[in-house]
Formats: sequence, structure tokens, C-alpha cells
Amino acid sequence: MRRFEHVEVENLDELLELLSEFKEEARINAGGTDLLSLFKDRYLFNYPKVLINVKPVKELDYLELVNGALRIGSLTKLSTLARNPVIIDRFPILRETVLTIASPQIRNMATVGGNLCQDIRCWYYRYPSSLGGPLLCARKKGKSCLAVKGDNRYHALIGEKCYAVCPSDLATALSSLKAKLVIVKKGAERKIDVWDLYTPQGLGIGPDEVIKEVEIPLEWAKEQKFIKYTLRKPIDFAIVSVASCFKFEGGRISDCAISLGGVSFRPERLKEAEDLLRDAKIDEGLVEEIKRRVLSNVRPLSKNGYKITIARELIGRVLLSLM
Amino acid sequence: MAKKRREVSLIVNGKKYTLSIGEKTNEVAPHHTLAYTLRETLNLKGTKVSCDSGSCGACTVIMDGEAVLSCTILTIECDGKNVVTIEGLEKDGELDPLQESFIKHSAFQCGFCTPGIIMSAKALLSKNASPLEEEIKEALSGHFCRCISHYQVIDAIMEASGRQVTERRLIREGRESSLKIIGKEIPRVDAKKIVTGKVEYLGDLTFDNLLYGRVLRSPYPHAIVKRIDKSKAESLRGVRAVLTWEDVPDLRGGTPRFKRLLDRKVRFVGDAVAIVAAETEDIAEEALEKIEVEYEILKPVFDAQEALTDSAPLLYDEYKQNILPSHTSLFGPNSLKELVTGDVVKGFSDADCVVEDEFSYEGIPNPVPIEPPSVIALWEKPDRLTLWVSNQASYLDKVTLSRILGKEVNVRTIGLPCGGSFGTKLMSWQVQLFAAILSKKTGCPVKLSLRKDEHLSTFTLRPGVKLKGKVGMKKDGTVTAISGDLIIDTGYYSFSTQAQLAVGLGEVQIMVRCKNWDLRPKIVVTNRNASGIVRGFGGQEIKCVLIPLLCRALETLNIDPFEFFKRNFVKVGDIYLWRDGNWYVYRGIDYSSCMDKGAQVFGWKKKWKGWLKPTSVSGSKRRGVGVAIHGNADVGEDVSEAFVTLHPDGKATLFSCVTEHGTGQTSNYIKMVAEVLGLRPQDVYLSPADSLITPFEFGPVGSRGTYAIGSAAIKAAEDAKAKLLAQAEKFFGEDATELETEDGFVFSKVNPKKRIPWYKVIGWERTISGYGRFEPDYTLTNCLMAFVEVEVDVDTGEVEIIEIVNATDVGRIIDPKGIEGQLNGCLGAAGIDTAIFEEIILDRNIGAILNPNLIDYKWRTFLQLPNIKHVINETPFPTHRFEAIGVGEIATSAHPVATFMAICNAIGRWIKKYPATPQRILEALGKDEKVRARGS
Repeated sequence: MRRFEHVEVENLDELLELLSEFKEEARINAGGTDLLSLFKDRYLFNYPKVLINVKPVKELDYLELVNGALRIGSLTKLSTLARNPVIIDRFPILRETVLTIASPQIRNMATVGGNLCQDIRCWYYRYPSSLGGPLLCARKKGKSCLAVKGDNRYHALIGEKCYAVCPSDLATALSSLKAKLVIVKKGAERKIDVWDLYTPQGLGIGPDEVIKEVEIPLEWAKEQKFIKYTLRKPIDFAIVSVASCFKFEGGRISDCAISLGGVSFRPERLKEAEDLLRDAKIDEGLVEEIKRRVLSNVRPLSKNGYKITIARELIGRVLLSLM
Repeated sequence: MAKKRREVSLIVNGKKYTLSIGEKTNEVAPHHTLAYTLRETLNLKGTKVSCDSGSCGACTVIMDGEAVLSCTILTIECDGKNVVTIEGLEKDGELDPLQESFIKHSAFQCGFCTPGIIMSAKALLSKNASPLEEEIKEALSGHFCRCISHYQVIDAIMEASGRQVTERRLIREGRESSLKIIGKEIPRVDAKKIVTGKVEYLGDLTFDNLLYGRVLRSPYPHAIVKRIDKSKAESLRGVRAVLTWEDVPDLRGGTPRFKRLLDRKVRFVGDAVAIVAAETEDIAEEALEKIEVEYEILKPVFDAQEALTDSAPLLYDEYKQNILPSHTSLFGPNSLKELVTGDVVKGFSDADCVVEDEFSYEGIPNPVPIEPPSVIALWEKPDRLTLWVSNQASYLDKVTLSRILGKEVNVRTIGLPCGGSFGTKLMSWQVQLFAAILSKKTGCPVKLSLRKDEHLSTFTLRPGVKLKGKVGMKKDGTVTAISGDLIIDTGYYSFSTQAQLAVGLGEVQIMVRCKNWDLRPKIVVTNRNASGIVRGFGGQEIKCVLIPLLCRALETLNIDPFEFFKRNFVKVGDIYLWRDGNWYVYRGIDYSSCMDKGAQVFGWKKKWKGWLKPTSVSGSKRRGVGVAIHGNADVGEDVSEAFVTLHPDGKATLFSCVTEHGTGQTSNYIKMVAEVLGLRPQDVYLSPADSLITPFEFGPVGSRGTYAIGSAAIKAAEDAKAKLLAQAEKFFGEDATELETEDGFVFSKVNPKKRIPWYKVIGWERTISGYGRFEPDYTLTNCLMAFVEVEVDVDTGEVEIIEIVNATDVGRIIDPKGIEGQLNGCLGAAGIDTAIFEEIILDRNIGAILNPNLIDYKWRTFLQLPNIKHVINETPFPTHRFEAIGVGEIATSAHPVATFMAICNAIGRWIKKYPATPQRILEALGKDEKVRARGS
């Protein structure tokens, strides 16, 4: 494994201090389930010098109901999410989602913040140095995305220069819950929508910033559903996933959010479909209309057009199940 | 403030360790994983490492009550943690009930994944004493097991948690038997070691002055190495040797012997450019980064068909059109190179129906045994080389290397327990020779173990096969002629592809009775990793394309494939051309009865609705069924030799060069010898698989273990017993034929009370040795018919395997749990899943294998276990002492094509290429968006 300096922090202030000092040169090690691959497989050209262990930072490991929202500390483990009674009772979609992620052993170590910030899975980007790599790609030093001309069966339909998908199922689910992320750095705090954490070229937060917590509004998401399409269960990353939340009033949808995973560099909120559904009563005609419109302006790469078929079908199934 | 740790304290198995942070041997460096610390620093080797990237579960330990992956955790971050490893489960010398249950259920095969699985199960049971079956599957869903121990593992955990195990997967009538050991459920002799993590695999050995080897690999699929500057690497502290093609002798392997160990030309992404030995793995890895190489890039070719064209680049100047000679000297002077018999022109004219079609099985899957290909080599003296190897047939490594190195070097191989091979590790000559020449250069033992990505990208793949063929058939299902172009893509070189072709061509005749054949195959080299020996050995690949072609004719004539296979499978008196180019007359049994029973258990008659018709439809979900068959006359192939020595204390030693690789056969040979000698299995010892002390052994390849190796061991035991009884005559005044032996005593059959201990017969200063040899016999075949039911979602392309029924006849079951494990193996090792999701994905622009990890390379998890049943008949094979033959190897072979057929029937369309991915299924149904867009 490639060498690094190792430091440990015990609280958030220490962490923010270090990040402001080291910036790109440091990387946070939370669960570690993804990050160590970087040092083992050496798939980048530049490496962080310092690894900051945040496991002792207990103040970021919490789940609490405050001011009409559920707040989840970013160092909460995925396995904790899956067995927390509040989650099971009020946000079953998070439990459903978590149980499709990786394996039980990984969920026992992996954290919410780490899952949201994990590196992309693109096989060109991650191609290991031990086999003649790493490869030049649009995210590294290369000019173009190798997936465009290559094998892109798992790649994004929506991207820009790079066609890696957002690998986080949790991000897809949290988007459908209209969750916000509290991002902090030394002396500052801001809130962003979950999907804004992702840009086509990487994470949309600075090297001195860190996710402090996830904030999920209570009460609105009454019907929740997560479907993940994979070749195998569990372990696999989503080929396509659909997370959706609905609120009904008098038989009509009063509020909803649908988020697609596996098709874009971020969780893709289907705003057009949501607009059609709002105040509507679901019937087969509407379902067909929505299926037609989903991803209709997207041009697939050479081998990932089947993702459109699957995405439409899964959305159709979610809607029909609500009839 | 942020701190750098000076030390880390943790409790492991109840004992507290305080380790300093640093670079010395007993210290923890910041980058050390917990797995590394447990194994290398604390010498707790029961925790295994396979993928080293958190995707296989082998390294699972319990930390603060939770199952975690010790390869993804830095030890420096474990301060204050409480860790339990497999070594911590025994209490006061007593096994944990979970371990006892694993032994009872033989819930393992090669055993490499077992410690990790047991730790996950332990963590589960600590929280949930009585889990449901689904909860067990869920808890184990991150564990990779290629032998497929899954079903027996679930039984073991269910029983350990006090639940009843009701599942009956083995359907057998059983046989009356006076045998005491054979056929009984007796734990494997290595069972306790496996469940306690005490089996010493190659990676667990410790050596003084051990160096670590690594390979620098080519980034280009086809290039000339113009210049290598290794000076920076050589000057790195701790680097002991850096060798390139210029430094090593011209050693060549392969068939023909044409592939240089290190060459000036590289022929695939991952080809070896230089090799390094260093004092640690980290230093070796750093050295690789410091080697500077200048390449002249050549045009590559990735498609076998394209490689045959005149404009294609040549991989080897001597092989025009990239075609390799089809002959293999392994099978004698006339090895089977093509299948050309009878008169196909007449055959086609006699047919009621002639169909032509094209199918390809080119997913080039990698069976990925869990233990990485590894070796330790020590070149002791100029003429003496010793290798510790992990291979199912370690004597063959000696043969392969001796032929390459010449008779000046005496090669000794010591075979260790093997964490899975599935044939692939017979192709270890490059890995072994890299270590050997690094050892020669440095004078130290050198270990070379492939990383998982190297294993997936540079080690044995299945051959790629494409068939453009023609079948003639009569209305009654009689096949009148088969012809076609069979293109076999072997990747950048061939080790054994000619042999696989020869066996495969033999096997198709065992499957279908046809007088007129014209199959003229071409073995083609392309710029990708090499194909080679894999369970199914040629037959699986050829059948995956030939059976669908036959099916097109069956479809036209509306013939039930089950009836077709049953009628066509070899019958007594039938003849076939076998691998050595000779005709053989079949003298085995008629397998029809096991096929009928299989069909009945599966419900074939009810489920078969005709070609391209689903069995049932429920919304978008359609079920379909498929059936296929495989048989191989390899049950009696090649030579085995063994010695059995009787000791005066009533014990015996079997000298045989066999390593345990998961089948349980080493235990079975012991049981066979024990049965012959009237001893308990625990009184029979097996020698190490050391070529210095055992006679020749071809090894448990094909399905020859039971019939060939078993017969050699039996003969050696019988020979020793005959000598013993002859020597005892004078004590009894009776003829040897009137005497018998049991429990270390000789007794008179007439007067059993008269018993004389072996030591009196043999004398305390003597032993008795017997010798046994098995000579090849190609007149018997085994047989396995596979029935598969799948469910396909025609709107999403999703496929689920619902049920599998295997039908076979093995003469006599030697070890019920063992044979079940072998047959469950159809779900592993590049078997059934090569029909749906298991494939190596090669980028055909840059030549890189894109999925060299256990996330993107797809294997079956505990959460996707179909219903499985094995119908096993036991019709005696009189030529084996226990009337048994083997079936292990062929367990994977019939399934991919049966599954493929089931999918086609479910969706009502033919698919032409394996695997039938969602993408291909939706495309076949006209539902792929790209296809639709083009059409509109």
C-alpha cells in the first residue's frame, strides 16, 4: 500500500483546523471501506499526503429529531441507520436503501458522510496501477472520457466530459426525501441540497469543507419507496435506482419527489414528472405519459440505452403501486 | 489538538497487545491493515486475505461485537478495540458449537473462505440466537465462495442455532452395503483444521530471509519493449533483483513451446515486462514504479475472427493468420485436432431439416479461486530448485517446469492445501518461474502471490468460442450431419487449449450420436489475457455453442430436448473418437434412468411447453425451462501411482502426490485405503504431496479422482495387504485367501477369534509396502444432466434462476456431503452464471480488462440461491473396487447452456451471444432504447 502520514482528531474543530491547513493534501478517513483502495490500487496520479482519522469524533455520530427535522450526524454508521427505530418508523426508505448497499461487514464500518463522498466507480478512472495503469481520463489528466468510446454499460446517461455515475444509493434516497446537507468549514457553515454535492467533475464541496450532518424534513414523505436494479444482491452498485416519496391529500398527490440513481453524475430529480404528478390522481394514462417523458431528452452512450428502458419501467411500477 | 499516534492498544482474543507505531518488524506502520497486523505481526494466520479490498469477506473478524473486514481497517485506528478472530472461538480446547456444526455438515470445500464465514455467522448468532434462513443469508451476503459451500453453510448455522434442518437436496435410493467407511457420512480428515483456521495455505508459511516478488506489467496490448531503465529501481533500498527479458534465459512454455517467459514483445495489457524481488511487498511495489520503459506501440487485434484476416497484425511471426498448430503432444502423436468422420454431404441430404446459425460463448470468464495464484521458490543449488506450490496437481508442476528448465535442474514441488483451483492453477508455470529465477538471482526464497486484479487480468480465463455451423436432422431426432467453423480464441498464447479442444471434440460425440461430422476448429491468438485450463475443459465451451445450434433444428422439428438428449447420450457399444485420436467402444452404463428420474423431480413434462414458449407468465415475469447434458470419458484418464506402507503398530501411510483443493478427495483416498485394510480412517496417514517422496500423480483433474487416483491407492493397499496376508500364512497354517485383516490384526475367516497383531506378522523392525498404478481407460464416461428453470422480467431484462435439478449416476457415493458440494459447485467457478452475468469485460480499444475486482466481476452471493436438487443413482461400475466413478469436474458444464435455453424459451426469442445480460435480453425483445431510437 502507498504510504501516507496519519493523524487523528478528536473533535470537529480540530478536523476543520487541519483541513484548512492541508486542503487537497489531506483526506478524511471515516469508515475507510472505500478510501484505502486509493492507496492500494494507486489509481490516481496525485495522492493526498495526510490521512485524518475521524473515528474518535463522537460529536458527529448522532440521530436526533429537532425542529421538525431528523438530523443525522455524518459519522453515523450505515448499520446504525438500518436498525434505528426512528428510521424504521418514519423513514423506512433509508433502511430499505441501506440494506442494498455493499455487505453487512461494510455497513458496520461505513458512515453516512463517507457513503455520500465515496469515490466514483468508473472502471477507467479506477483502473489499477498494477496492470499498466492508471489510465488517463477526463477526471485525471486525460482529454476525454474513455467510457464514451469504450464499454459504458454502467456509465451515466447524463454527464459532462465525464460519464461516471454518482455511486451513492443513499444520495438517491436522501434526494427523494428532500434532505439538505450541512457543510462546514473553519468559521463557516452552509446548507446545500443533496444533489448539489455532485458535479460532473467531482464533489461540489471544497477540500477544507466537510459534511457535518444530513437534515431531513419530517412529516411530508408519507409513502416512500426505493427500488434498486442490480445484477446481484446485495454488493452491486445500482444500474438504475428509483427513490420516491409522496404525500397524498384527498386521493391526490399533494407533494412528491422522485430521484433516479445510476443514470447521472448526481441523483437526478425528475422535476418534470413531479410537476405532472402534483395535484394529480394517478391513472394508467398518466403513468404512461410520465414513462414516456422520463429521460426523453437524453442521448444514451453506445451501451447504456437499456438504462432508460429500465428507469422508465421502474418508475411506472412505483406509480402503479400507488394507484 | 490533532495527534500522531505513538502506539495502539487493542485486545485480540482476550489478550491485550500494545504495539508501537513504526517501521520495525514488531511495530505497526500507519498503512498496516488490521488483517496484516493479525497475520504478520501477531502471527494469527487463521484470518485469510483474498481480495484485500473489502469485497470478498475472507478477512472478516469480529470487532466490538460486529463483523467487519479487517483488510479495510487500519490497525492504527483500532486503539481500544476488542477483536475476536477464528483463533478466539475455541474455549479451553473445546470447539465452538458453530464450528462443530460446520464439521458435521462439511460446510466447506477448499476452506479458504470458511474462517471469515464462521466469524460472520458467530457475530450474527451473538445478536440473534435463532435467525431465520433469510437472516442467515443476509448476514453472509458479503462472502465470496467459489466452490459453493453456501447450502451446507446455511444448514450448519441453522443447526447450530437450534433449528431443524429439513432441506433434502440429495435424492438417492442408496445401496445395500457391507462397507464400513465408504459411503458413510464421516467428517473430512481436515475438517477440524479448516473450521479453526489452522490449515496452512501457501500464504501462511513463514521462511527466513523471504523476499517478495512482483511483476511490472505492460500498459499496451501489443508493443515492442525498446528500452528499459531499471537503475532507479535497483538503487532503491531493499530491492534485491530487477530482471527483464535481457537478463533471463530464453525459457519457453506453452503448446507448442513458444511463449517466452519474459519477452521483448508484449502481447496483452498486463503482460510481464520486468520482475522484482525486494525485502517487503511495499518496496517491491515502489520499485515497479521506478522502472522506466519505452515502448514501440503495435496495432493490436482483439477479435479472433479479425485476427484471421490478412490485414491483422501477427502476435507471433511464426504463426501465420494468428493460427496455432492444433496438435498437443500431451495426448500422443495423433491428438484429436478436428472432428471429421463419415460423409456430411450425404448426411445433410438425408436430413429432413437443415439449419444454419451462429452462436458465441466469448465472455472469457475467470473462475477466480479464492486463494490467489501463489508460489514460494528456493533455488538451493545450481541443479536444485524447490517450489512450494498451490495447485490441485502439484506433481504436474514438476513435470511442466522440468520440461522447460531441462534435465540439468532437479525440480522438487511441495504441494500445499489449495484454496480452490478449478483447473486454472495448472497454468502456474509463469508465476512459478518468475519466483524461481528471482530466487536463483538472490539466493533467497522468493514468494510471488498475485494481487486480485492481476489474478483477474493475467491468470487463466475460459477459452472464447464461436461457432458458425450447420446441423442436419431427421424428423425423429436422428442427427445426420454436423459441420461448422469453430473459432477458438485462446488469448495471447496457449498452454493447453489444443488439449481442451481435443477433449471437447470427444465429448460432443458422447452427447450426440452422429455419424457424419465436419468440425474443423482453428485456435487463434489475440491480444488479450490467455485462456486455458478451467473446469469443463473444452467441453463446456464447445457445448455452449453447439447445443443451441442443435436446438434450432429441434425447434424446427418440434422435438423435446430432454427426449433428444436422453436418446442421443452414449450407450453401450457406441464408439467415439477420443483425445488421442483413437476410437473407443463405450462399455459403461446406460444413464437413461437417472435422466428420467431427474426429469420427474424437476417436473420437466409439465414445465416444457415447446420451443420459445414460456412455462408460465405472470405480468411481465415469464418462466422458462432448459435442459442440457455433459459427459466426459476422463474419469479414467492418465496415470496415477501410489504406495501404501503398513506399519507394525497397525497404522498405514498412503504415499500419493495429492493436495486437498476442496473436493474432499484426500479424505476419500484415505477412506478407500482404510476400507481395504480394515483400519479406521484416523489410522491412515497421507504423505505430503512432495515430489521427492511420492511417485507420479497426474492429480485430481477432470473427474479422475475417484476412479483413477482412487484405484491406484486401492491397488497399493491391496498389494500391501496381499503381502501382509502372505506373510501371515505361517502363523495360521492357512492359505492367505483364508485370512483377513482388521484394526491392525490379521485373523482367520474360518475362525475369527484367532487374531494376530500386525507387529507379530511384520516385526517391529520391518514395514510392508505395496504399489499401485492406474493405467488410462477411456471406455467409461460420467454424465450429468442439468434442468434449469429461470424467471425473466421482460420489461427490465432481469433474470432469476428459480430451480436447478442435476441428475447423475456415480456407481457408488463415496462421501455424500462431498458429492453434494461438488454438484452445488455448478453455481460457482465460471459455471452457470456465465449464461447471465459472469464475464470478463475487455475494452476493445485499449485492450484493458475493465472489471479486475470482485465488485465488477460478478459472482453469486448467498442472497441468490435457487432451489437445487441432485438426483444421484448408484448403478455399479464393476471395474472400480467400490464400483464408483467421479463426477466433480463436469458439475459446471451443462448449466450455462441449459440456462441460456431457459431464458430464450422464457422470452420467446433466440439470443446469440453469452451472457444473456439485461442489455442483450432487452435488445432481443426490441426494448433497448438505442435500438428503438435507431428504428424510429
